Amino acid sequence: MYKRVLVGLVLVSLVLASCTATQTPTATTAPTDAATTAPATTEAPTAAAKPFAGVTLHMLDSAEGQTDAMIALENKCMDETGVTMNVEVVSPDDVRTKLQTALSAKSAAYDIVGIDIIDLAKYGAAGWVEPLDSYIDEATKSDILPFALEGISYNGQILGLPWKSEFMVFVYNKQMLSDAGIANPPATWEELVADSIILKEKGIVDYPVAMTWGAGYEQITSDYTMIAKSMGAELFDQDGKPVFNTGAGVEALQLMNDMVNKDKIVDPAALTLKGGGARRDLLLGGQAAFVFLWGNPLVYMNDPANSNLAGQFALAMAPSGGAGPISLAGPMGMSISAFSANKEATWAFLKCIAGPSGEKELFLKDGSPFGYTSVLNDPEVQAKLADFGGDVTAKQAENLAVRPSLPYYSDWSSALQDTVQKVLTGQAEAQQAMDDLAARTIQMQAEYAQ
Amino acid sequence: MKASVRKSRFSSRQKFGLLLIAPSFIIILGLMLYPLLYSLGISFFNLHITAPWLGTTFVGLKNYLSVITDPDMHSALEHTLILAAVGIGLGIPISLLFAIILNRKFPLRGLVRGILIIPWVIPGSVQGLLWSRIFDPHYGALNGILIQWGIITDPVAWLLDPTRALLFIAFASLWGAVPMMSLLYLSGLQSIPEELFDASRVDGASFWGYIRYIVIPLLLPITLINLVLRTIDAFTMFDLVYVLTGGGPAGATQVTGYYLYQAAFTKLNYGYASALAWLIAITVTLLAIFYSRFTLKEETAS
Repeated sequence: MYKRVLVGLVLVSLVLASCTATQTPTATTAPTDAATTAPATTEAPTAAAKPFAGVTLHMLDSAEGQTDAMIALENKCMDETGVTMNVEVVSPDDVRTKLQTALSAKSAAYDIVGIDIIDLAKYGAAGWVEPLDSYIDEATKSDILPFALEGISYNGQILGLPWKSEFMVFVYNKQMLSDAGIANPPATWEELVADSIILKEKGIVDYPVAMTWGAGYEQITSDYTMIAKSMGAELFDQDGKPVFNTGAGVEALQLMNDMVNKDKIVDPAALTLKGGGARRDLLLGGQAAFVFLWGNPLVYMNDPANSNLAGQFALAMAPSGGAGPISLAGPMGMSISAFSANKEATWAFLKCIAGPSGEKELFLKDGSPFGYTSVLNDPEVQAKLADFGGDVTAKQAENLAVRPSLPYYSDWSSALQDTVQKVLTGQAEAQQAMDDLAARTIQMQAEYAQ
Repeated sequence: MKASVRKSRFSSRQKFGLLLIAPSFIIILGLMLYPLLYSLGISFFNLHITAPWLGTTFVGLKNYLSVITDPDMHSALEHTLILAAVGIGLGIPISLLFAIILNRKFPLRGLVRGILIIPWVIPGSVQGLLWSRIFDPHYGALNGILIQWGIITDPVAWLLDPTRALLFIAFASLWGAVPMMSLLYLSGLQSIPEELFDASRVDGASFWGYIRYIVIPLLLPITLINLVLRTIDAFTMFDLVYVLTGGGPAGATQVTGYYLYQAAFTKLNYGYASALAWLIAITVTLLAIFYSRFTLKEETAS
């Protein structure tokens, strides 16, 4: 009896094994793993016309990144270069963790690597990505917008091509301002506070400025950096020593605190909220008049399908704190993994999707931000930009700051977020809290020292 | 020449049995024991994968010392102990009360027992989302009800005040845990013979006397289980904190489970996170031993 069962088990195993063998992935099928795979795979290009026919490349992305426009661009670039691109799609929270785990193991699992500016120094210091200085020509290099170039440069080397180089824009409700008798949107932080107080006093809105400063939310670091830079602060000196605990660095935190606790123009509930959607929705619901949002938010906000207040929203330059109307850029880069076995093919594909033509195509199709001067000056792009408050967007693009590029950025940003929350909940004074953060930053520098 | 025949230690039936359990045995070894031992191993190394330039070096007990001396960890431990204390201090009497009520006969008792279990079967992350809708400062149900009833005039950001945020997390956690604790007590109550209740009445004991001198002592083993489960829940709490507060405001709801998640999956500092995980496991084990001894002593005394 047992022998019969055993023979049966062996037979079942053999059948299963043979099924598995017939399902071994080929170059044109999706990679397995727990993740799903986009995009559509076109037929293999003919080897004669395609320089990298037969080469299969891999990259990691979230479903949000794999828009219809992106998939179409990937298909076009596959057709042009001959490579087959397999995109492993995972949840947005997993992209960074999975990528860094693979790179730390020196794995060739992914050929194309996306880098956010906040991780740039870490990737550079770790040697995880291929410096592109020997690949990129001077014309392309000089075409890159300055803030986008900052998002891909580390220690004098270029580590990637610009990718979705977005920045925050300042949105206001022009109807509310008009109802309050305010002729122009605020041009300085003082005016923002003064206008907000008028809006409050006239009963138009209780908390005019919408912010989301929930615990552990990167937007805290973004907003602090933007305010500090607009006030002329440097967060670190030339030698990398923290100086955010002096002058405008502390004043910026004090302003954040005053907006919540003294002037009461930011809802204290902001300290429990996260997400750009949450603060955008406060304007859409008529609960706030001013907000900073990433990308091109007017496309959504002025769509009547999304709000009864559609058409009331407009863009203005970010308020100045004395150093100009500075907003914050969050440029990203697309790079070649240092461990890729197909660097030339990856570069060809990279140029196609992250070069000026690829970025222009994505902008025209789904409004994705771009990082090239030639794209910015393109007539088609200019026409489309006009629909999004383009002149302001174009001017804002010339007045941007970025967050510091630090090998220990995650720890530092997390500590800054905690510091801001402590001050805004009344548990610490701005100066003392920033002094403590500076001391912790020096400890981090020692821990991470190469 | 007669060939020597080695007699197997196992019969063919036993061999077949071993063969059948082999897959699950291999899976348990591969998915539980190996990672457990591996995490113990890396807890002695500086394995910070986002800082590869630091190298992977043997650091002995440094990660354990870092955890023990970390002020943020002290704060997380304090909040965890508060959660455990609230979970035990309120959870045990409430669930015992529910169990006593549900053990008595009344119309639709079966339905009420079924309804009681609903919070427990809702996954923790979904519970977190439900509570986030209830506590939302702008559109939350709690604010809506209180404003409608005239108790408050303006919406309140319930999770803004550090102390209140922690208590709300404790309350939300209790809501999900009480059903299971009650069911455990109910199963214990059902194993107490009716004759004891009758005998106590004949002896003139009041209902409270019956609870105090018969039910509570006989339910001590169940109480031990509830103590251990609530403590483990507090030390491993992640989902409610992740969804509701992210550990804020200003670290006021940071607990050991969420702190561990951040060390391992946000900062990717696996050496430190492994040491922290082992210290949490050791702490919970020690507390379980303490509870066990304490309840055994009480049981003997009673």
